[in-house]
Amino acid sequence: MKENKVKINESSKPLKRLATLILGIFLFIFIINCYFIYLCNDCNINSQSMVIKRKWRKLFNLSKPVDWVILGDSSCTCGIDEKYFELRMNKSATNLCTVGNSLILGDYLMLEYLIKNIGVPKNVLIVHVYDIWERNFDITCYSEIPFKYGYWNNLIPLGLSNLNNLIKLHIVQYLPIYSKNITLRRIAENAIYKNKKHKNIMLKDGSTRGEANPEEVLKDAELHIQKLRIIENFSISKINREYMEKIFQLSEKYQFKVYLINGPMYNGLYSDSGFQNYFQQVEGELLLVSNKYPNVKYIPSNKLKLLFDKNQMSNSDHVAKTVVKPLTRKIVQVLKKEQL
Amino acid sequence: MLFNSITFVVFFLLIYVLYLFFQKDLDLQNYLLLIASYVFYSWLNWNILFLLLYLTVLNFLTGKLIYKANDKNKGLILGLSIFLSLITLFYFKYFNFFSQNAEHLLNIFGFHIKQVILNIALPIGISFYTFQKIGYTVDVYRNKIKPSSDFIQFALFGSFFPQLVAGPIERSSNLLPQIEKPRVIKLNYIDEGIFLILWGYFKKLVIADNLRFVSDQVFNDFLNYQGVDIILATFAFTIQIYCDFSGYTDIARGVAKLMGFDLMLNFNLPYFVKSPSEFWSKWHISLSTWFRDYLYIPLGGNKESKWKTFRNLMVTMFLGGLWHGARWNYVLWGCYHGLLLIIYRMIGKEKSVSQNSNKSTVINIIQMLLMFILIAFGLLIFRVESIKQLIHMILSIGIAFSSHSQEFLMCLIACSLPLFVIQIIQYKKNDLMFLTKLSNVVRIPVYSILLISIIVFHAGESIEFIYFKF
Repeated sequence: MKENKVKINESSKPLKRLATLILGIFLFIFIINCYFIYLCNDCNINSQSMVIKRKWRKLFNLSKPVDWVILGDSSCTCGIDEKYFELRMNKSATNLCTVGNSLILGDYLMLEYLIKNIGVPKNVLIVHVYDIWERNFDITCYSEIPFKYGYWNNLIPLGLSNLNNLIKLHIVQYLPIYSKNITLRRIAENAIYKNKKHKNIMLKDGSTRGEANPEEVLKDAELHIQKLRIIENFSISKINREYMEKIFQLSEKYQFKVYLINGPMYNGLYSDSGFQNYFQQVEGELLLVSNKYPNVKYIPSNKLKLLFDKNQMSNSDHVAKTVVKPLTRKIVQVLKKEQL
Repeated sequence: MLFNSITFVVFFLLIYVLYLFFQKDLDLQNYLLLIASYVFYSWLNWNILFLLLYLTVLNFLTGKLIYKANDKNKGLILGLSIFLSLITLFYFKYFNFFSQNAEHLLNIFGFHIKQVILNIALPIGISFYTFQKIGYTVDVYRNKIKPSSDFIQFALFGSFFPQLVAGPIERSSNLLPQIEKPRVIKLNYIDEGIFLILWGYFKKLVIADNLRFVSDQVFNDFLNYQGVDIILATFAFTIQIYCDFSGYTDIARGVAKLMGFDLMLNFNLPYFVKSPSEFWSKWHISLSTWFRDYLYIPLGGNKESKWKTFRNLMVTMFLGGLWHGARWNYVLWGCYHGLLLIIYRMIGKEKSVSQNSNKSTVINIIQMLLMFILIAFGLLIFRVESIKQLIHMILSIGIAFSSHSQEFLMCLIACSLPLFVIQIIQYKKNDLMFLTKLSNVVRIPVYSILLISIIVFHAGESIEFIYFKF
């Protein structure tokens, strides 16, 4: 078998041949990468990316102010039915909840855009699961926001301007071949496996709906409990505290009401003593901050009781699609009672 | 440091820039490569560097002593050198195995002794570099080469980072002269190097690491699998281990080529073979030829009686199996291949296979398929954790499909197809490097697809190469 000592034809100009090869590879990959940008632009396999993109597009398409704006994480992306909320509340509403890693900063960015470009809402409902409050800033989520090129200049005052973050942001947005390789891999796997290995139920507006998965609920709850055994004291992360206060300050400035609630939860997790120890600290802190602002109301979980059985949930803090309406109804009932 | 880590990519780029910068000064280049090799080897545990240094000094000194000694003393020094090298290997790799087995054996005869277990980690690549250094000393003894007069050059020979931890086990006659003389980085070497690196990473990260999900799932949870799943997992492991190991070798050879070195070929389409002896001439060539030259031939090879040839084959394959690790299944795997070699010789298939290469394609394909199945069965023995597991898995082989079978089969096909397509062309063209000779119109999309596949379809975390543990 011929292996080494390859004779390259001298007349083929090896240097030119090698240079063409390397440049050609770069060009080829550039073209494929452009195609991947197009492919990942509206592909529901990467649910985090698509929830953020679709919810922001929904915000951009809003034409008039609404009575209720719902902000928060994936627990209400999959848990609150906007139409049903409107029906029960008899007011206009929009569900703009995205994902937990967007933090309160994500809520703030949406609210700020809404106020500046569409109009001031009358009420804002913020729903978050208990464990987002300690989380810190991750540029990935903000890289998915479908602003026009250069939008990050507007984020400089928010501290997003450091070089690392800007590089990461560009990689997420413009180099999907690297940053979205798992999504691309799943697209390929779906093409290979007839039974569509990776599927998410995602509505056009970015809301999601999950199936009940009692096994996953138990597993997930156990992970939460184990994690909480390590954490001794709760404290809200700097970025969450800063932007929570900014939202509350906006409520004073523009005179709208803010209702802050915890997301739904598996009752087995809620009744765990370790969890309770941590959760009471969360509630205490949130109450302390919200009490400083007259337009803000924190509704503690003992009033809301958004607790569900494992057969009604897809994991420990995400309800199954069968419970979306009861959950929405419950929230509306409490909000009506609590309205300032 | 793993080839399949970003750390290595950055490390190599830095070293390569410096290497090119020192191109006119051989000594500086060799110093650089030696330091780089030691950093590469001791990246996670610097203690093991002492072991490498010890074996380097030992073989460097004994090489010199052998060269100066008279015929009588030569043998003694060689024996001592080999003994000291092998005892080190034994201590790190085989002590616990022998201790455990000795205890079991003595228990059978009613002697109860306290087992001595050493709590030591196996130094990565120890078998590879120990054998490479022993090979050097034997070559000096046989007057095939002169001993190296420059310690730095010899130390680099014994620790050259591309091939240090998983081979190829280089011969002193091939690598040492390349270290001693100025190297010229030819454009065709760069061209070939790029292909080898891309193809090596593709085999490791895309094929081997993805097939690992099938083989690990079944082998690690074998009680819950049976029927076709066992067969699929065995085939998956057969492809996986080849792509893992040959992928490493390709990367090693590619990286070396970029620096102007030409390392020996280690795999030459080993699954396109019709007999066990052909397989061993194409699988892990650097090890099989090592055993041939330094063990099988000194034992007498096939020059004596038929039975002595069989004995020599069995001893060589037994030790070849043991080389892989201190486990009975490796020994059994070696013996299985020894037995295959003997059976093929006994029924005269070795000759008929080599003489009948002009037979019809169908017969050739049947012979290859049979050999592939025999190799795969051998790798089932190789992969199991215990003899009990082996028996259970063999007894569980059947034709029953499970809910996982379709997914396993799809994964096996999807991962193996690109390998099969490229290798069938390599086989037909009788040229492993055929891609480097094609026009850029073909090479650009093929190389780009390989690169994109590596980025998109790599299995995630950096997974250690299988042969690192040997």
